[in-house]
Amino acid sequence: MQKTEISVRSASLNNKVKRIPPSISYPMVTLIIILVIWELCGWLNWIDPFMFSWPSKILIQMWDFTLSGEVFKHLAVSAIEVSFGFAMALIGIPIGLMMGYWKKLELAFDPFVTALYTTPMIALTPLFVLWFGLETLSKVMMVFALSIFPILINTMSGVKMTDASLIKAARSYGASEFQIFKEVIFPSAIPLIITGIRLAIGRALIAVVVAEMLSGNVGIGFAIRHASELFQTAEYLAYVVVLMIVSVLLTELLKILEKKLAPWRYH
Amino acid sequence: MLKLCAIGVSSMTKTPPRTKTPILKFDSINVIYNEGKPNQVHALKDVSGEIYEGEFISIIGPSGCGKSTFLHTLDGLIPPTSGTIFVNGSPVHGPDRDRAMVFQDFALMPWQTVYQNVAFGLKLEGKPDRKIRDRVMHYIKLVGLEGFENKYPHQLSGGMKQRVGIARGFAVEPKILLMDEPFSAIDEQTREIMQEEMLKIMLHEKKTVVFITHSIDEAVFLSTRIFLMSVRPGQIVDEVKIDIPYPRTLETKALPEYQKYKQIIWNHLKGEVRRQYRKGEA
Repeated sequence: MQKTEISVRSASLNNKVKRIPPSISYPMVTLIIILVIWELCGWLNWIDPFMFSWPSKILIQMWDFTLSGEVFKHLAVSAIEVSFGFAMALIGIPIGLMMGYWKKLELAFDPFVTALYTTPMIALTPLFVLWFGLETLSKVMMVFALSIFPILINTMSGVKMTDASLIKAARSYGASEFQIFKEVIFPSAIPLIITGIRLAIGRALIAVVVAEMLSGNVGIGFAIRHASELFQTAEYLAYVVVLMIVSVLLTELLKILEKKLAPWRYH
Repeated sequence: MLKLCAIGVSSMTKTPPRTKTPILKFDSINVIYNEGKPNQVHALKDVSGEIYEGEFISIIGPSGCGKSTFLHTLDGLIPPTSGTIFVNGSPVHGPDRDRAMVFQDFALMPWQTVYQNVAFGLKLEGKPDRKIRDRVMHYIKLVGLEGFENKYPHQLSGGMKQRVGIARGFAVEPKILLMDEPFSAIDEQTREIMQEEMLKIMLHEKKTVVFITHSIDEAVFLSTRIFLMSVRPGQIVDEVKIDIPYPRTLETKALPEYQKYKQIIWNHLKGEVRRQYRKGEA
């Protein structure tokens, strides 16, 4: 009896080890194949290290700036700029809620919000530098300016897309206008608010990198520009890889948050 | 009002005691949408009637006759253009605790669990969770959803979703339950079982029900009285009293008088549907 139990347990353990979901194993295989071919191209001298680089060289660079702590200095500054700018941009949630709820507010402001959203605001960076200086503040403001609109617009459409029959049901059960807003409209807008936040994070990263590239002497954007100006292509690409890792991590983090905040969509 | 009872069903003598005040009374209700505009629609015309405590009233009529509008008006969601609704003698000005609605499309909050949905009406009253817990669980059990309290609506079948909707209605302990084609989105087999369950619960809870359907079979099976509505503008053109004693079961459907009632109502509806057809609306 005991023996069978043990064997069952070890079998299930084995299963656990073997069961890497295809959503992870398949892209892993793709990635490994690409990296191997890329690496081989480097070894066969098909890549001019001045023009481009290959995985092992990039990895060495990453190892170096991790050991020296250089990368953390840049990451910390960029992270602070993104955090402050993004925190400010969350004001887009209440504004979006109001614009979605009050038709008149939407009519008055929607064309301008849409215009600002579609404008490549990144073009305003020099102006922001002029207004807010070469230091952190101009980057914070850039992050804010780029990330507020996707949050605002998605929140607004979340409110507007509330199922009318749910509002009717709430009204039928005696909900006041405020209760309808709190118990029906806001929760039903949460999934789209999160979508807005996800879009905004992408734009926030673009904003901080471009702003640091154009002006500044610290931050990931600056590190990228600096390496490229010195034609340190491997180092430059290594910083790009860091950026890539950060944005993938942020996206995954947001997915977890999404499941926490909107569990009814993920069962 | 033409009395259909004369057509052939003899046992239509027992009427509810008319000395009491009706629990629900509606007096020449008119609902006109977009009044005075070119797209004006006269949805309900001079609808009057009385419903007494403990009755199960079905309203049946061709589609688009204003059945739903009528029920929404009774609930207070749609204010009548003219006329008044009285509950126990006092006029209705909007939705209230003494009437609860069960919707055709369930209208459950997708972000709330079964428990939270059933508790919805009570929560709106601001009652703390510990005070309503027993009551909510009682109605979850009553509709047979014990063990599903923490599921979300999308994890349930159509029949189960509507049972949540029914439990939500019961939980506010209304005097009158208004049901808008509650079983129309549910498959045939589940529907038959739910009709039977519904009757059991109704007898147990002693509620007054106003029930909308376009299934003649459902109406005859469930009701004490059936209101027949005409094509737009919707009017109650007749009523049929169903004198089959409760409790009714699926076997009731085999009774000859059951078939006779169905025939009477169908003959009537046929005329209405033809009229609508000729008007090019069906």
